[in-house]
Amino acid sequence: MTESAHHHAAEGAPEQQAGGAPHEPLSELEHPTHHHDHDPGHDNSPEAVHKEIKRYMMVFGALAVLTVITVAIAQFHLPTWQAVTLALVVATVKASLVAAFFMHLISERKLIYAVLIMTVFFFGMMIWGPVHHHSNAEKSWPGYDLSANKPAATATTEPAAGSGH
Amino acid sequence: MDGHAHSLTAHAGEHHEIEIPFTVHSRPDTGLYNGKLGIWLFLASEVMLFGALFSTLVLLRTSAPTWPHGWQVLNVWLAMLNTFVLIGSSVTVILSWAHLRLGNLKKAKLYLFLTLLCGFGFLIIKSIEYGTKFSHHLYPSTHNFYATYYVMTGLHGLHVIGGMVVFAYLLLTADKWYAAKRDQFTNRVEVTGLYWHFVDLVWIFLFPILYLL
Repeated sequence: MTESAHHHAAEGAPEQQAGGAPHEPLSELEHPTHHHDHDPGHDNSPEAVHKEIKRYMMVFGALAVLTVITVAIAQFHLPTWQAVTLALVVATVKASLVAAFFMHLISERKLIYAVLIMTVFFFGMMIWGPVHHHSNAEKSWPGYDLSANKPAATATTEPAAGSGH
Repeated sequence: MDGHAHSLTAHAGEHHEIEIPFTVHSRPDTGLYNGKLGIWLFLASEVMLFGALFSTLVLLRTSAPTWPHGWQVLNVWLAMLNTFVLIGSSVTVILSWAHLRLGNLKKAKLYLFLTLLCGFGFLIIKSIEYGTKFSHHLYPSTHNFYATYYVMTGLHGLHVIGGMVVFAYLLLTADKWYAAKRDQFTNRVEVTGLYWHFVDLVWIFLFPILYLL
């Protein structure tokens, strides 16, 4: 990779960009940003880092507890609708903890939020598709019967019992 | 941190190799070093990849006349153990990064090694699960449930392996990188960590959806 580059100095040098010539605007901008060359979210002072480490351990504890909770809830064998809702709520809380603290999204640059908003939108579309299809299938096509293929499927519907094969 | 003195006068021709720009300092217009923006764009595409599979799972499950409960047919306890292993590895990788920022390479390497170890642990537990299923002749072709189970956990497992390859590389080259370009190496660990947290995050959803519902 870059191991044999002898000059460190040019890390932020605009000249390194393709083309090279129009570096005036960027070099103008470089000075004002100099004071936060390192991510402003990351204070590298030992006190700050130790405080962060403490916070990471607390998040770990919370994730462990939530994992136990979600497994405990599953032991009640609730009706599908409630089970799905509860499991997804707990998973979303856990995912938010990971994203906010481990991936430090709690204080991140605008551009990353912009990328993620788009991502969430398109992800939502992908999940919305089949859910919408399911809730409208019988309305849209009166003849559409979700259980129509039941007989054909019975042979493989109980994989647990099928362990003999 | 390296001096800025040369940065504005340096010409590309003076370098034996082209220096990658903005590996340490933030790019003025994005406010980010390039690696970080790069990994987030990659993760966005990863969300789409896994999103397509989650979408498929919803479609298959809601239109199936019957669908087994994960807890009836899969080993919830092994998967729960794997959840702890993966969450633990998320913590170790972030501790590695934190210790690099504190200037403690030795501890940082130890935590990188522990992360790698967790990755192995996860794969071993996963292969025990797969092995049991195979021995009962439960394959992707057995049922749509198993098709989605194998594809989603399989793709996730490949991501674990991918992360482990990068961690192994970082661990093996840590001394050299740290001596030559400490800040860049620290950022590399951070960026790899972001990927690893994403892999953890995917599992946080896979576990309840496949095993607990």
